[in-house]
Amino acid sequence: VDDAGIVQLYWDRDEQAIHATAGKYGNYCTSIAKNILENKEDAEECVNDTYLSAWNSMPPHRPSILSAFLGKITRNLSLNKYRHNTADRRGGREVTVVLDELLDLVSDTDSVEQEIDCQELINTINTFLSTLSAEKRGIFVRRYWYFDSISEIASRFGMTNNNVSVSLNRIRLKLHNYLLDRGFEL
Amino acid sequence: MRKEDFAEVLGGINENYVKEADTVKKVRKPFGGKWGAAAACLCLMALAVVLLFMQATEAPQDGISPENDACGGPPYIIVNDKTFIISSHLSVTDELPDGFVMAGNINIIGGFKNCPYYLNPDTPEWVYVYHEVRIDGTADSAGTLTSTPPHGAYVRYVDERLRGKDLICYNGNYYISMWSAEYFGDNPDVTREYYDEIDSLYGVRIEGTVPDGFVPAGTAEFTGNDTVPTGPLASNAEASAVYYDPNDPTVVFAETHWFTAAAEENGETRHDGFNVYILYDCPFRTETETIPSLDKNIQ
Repeated sequence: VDDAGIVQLYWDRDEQAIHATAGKYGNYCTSIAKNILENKEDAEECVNDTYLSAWNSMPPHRPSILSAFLGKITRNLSLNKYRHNTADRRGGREVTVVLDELLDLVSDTDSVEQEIDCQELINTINTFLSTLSAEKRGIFVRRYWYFDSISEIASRFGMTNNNVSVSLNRIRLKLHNYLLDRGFEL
Repeated sequence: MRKEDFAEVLGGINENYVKEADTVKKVRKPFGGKWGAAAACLCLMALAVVLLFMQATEAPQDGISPENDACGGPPYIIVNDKTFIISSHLSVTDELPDGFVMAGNINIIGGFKNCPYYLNPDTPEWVYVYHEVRIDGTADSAGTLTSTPPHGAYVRYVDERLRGKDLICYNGNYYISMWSAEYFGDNPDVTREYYDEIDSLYGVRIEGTVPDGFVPAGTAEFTGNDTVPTGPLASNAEASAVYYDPNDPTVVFAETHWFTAAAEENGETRHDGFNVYILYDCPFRTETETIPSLDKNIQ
């Protein structure tokens, strides 16, 4: 079944939609959840919740890129789970490292002075990403969207771990300056 | 903003980018691919240097302790708000090069703490830092580094805007290799339009002969790794024959050769051609800097 067919199954309220989604994107969603949670049971729970959320979202949504739509749901659910687990000190190690890298970009404090327009911020980040080469953009997205490890990214792009780390350092620095120049003091 | 909140914001980026990042399948670049054997050797040497330094930083001695802020990347320092990354070339010396004077102590990000560092106002693109290494700066013809017991040495750190940039200076103009030119970020080497235009015309390297209209300019003088080349015709990459178009100063070609050893080939194949260099507004052309006071710039 192609993606449009799967989406149509959701719209038709046909429970085969769940089976088709699990068959085609189960591994994809599971890999995202595992990157963030590093706990098999938690990851499986988030992936199952992804299917439920997709069922509740379609209709009204009709995603143009089903993989990214599902992945985003998994990512959000897993991050929420991570936050919950962190309180119990059961968070994944890799995601902790990834989040700490984001400290290059944000103060990690609750800002009360500045009301951040999240949609405007996303638009600005998208514009920044459009200035990167496809490879650099891919490295950034694999790290901060998929939460891939450095070695996984290095393997995927045929690079060394050091090259990946340097690239990420530089992209973070450039993004930080890019956002600052546009008034986003995060 | 909390880092978790920012991670959540990043979840909303353009879905096309998410899909794009997932379409890159796991690959291993074949040795002798587009970089060629010579470049690959250099890269291996550079990687080995970094690895050796990283190993060194993992074994602190005599009160020197490592930091992990570089997340596994090459060590770097920040001096005068500029980032200097450890040289990708062999750049270890037992004696401090002429002209450099001590400017204080500095913490290396991803390396040792409280290391003496040295500046030279005539060479603002370099900083030397004295810290532990496990090589002596030499290599054999195959590029294998000479390992040594841990010892202190002066190590070159290079301005990030110069590190890894292959440059040619010709007739008062600077040119940057298409391999190393970056068109993105806040301080791009060239504009994206210019890069794309040249990329569509020649790519980063051409095989065979130079295009019509290009004539010999001579052989570039090799000014050394990590240097800003100066002179009538100079290169910080290698001494190679350079070709230019008298009617178009925007591009020059530097003679090179490379090897491939793809699976379908019977052994190694030599290719002759030219690296493409494009006009570049070199930030070091007229830059002058002074040595900061000793109590400043300590990170």
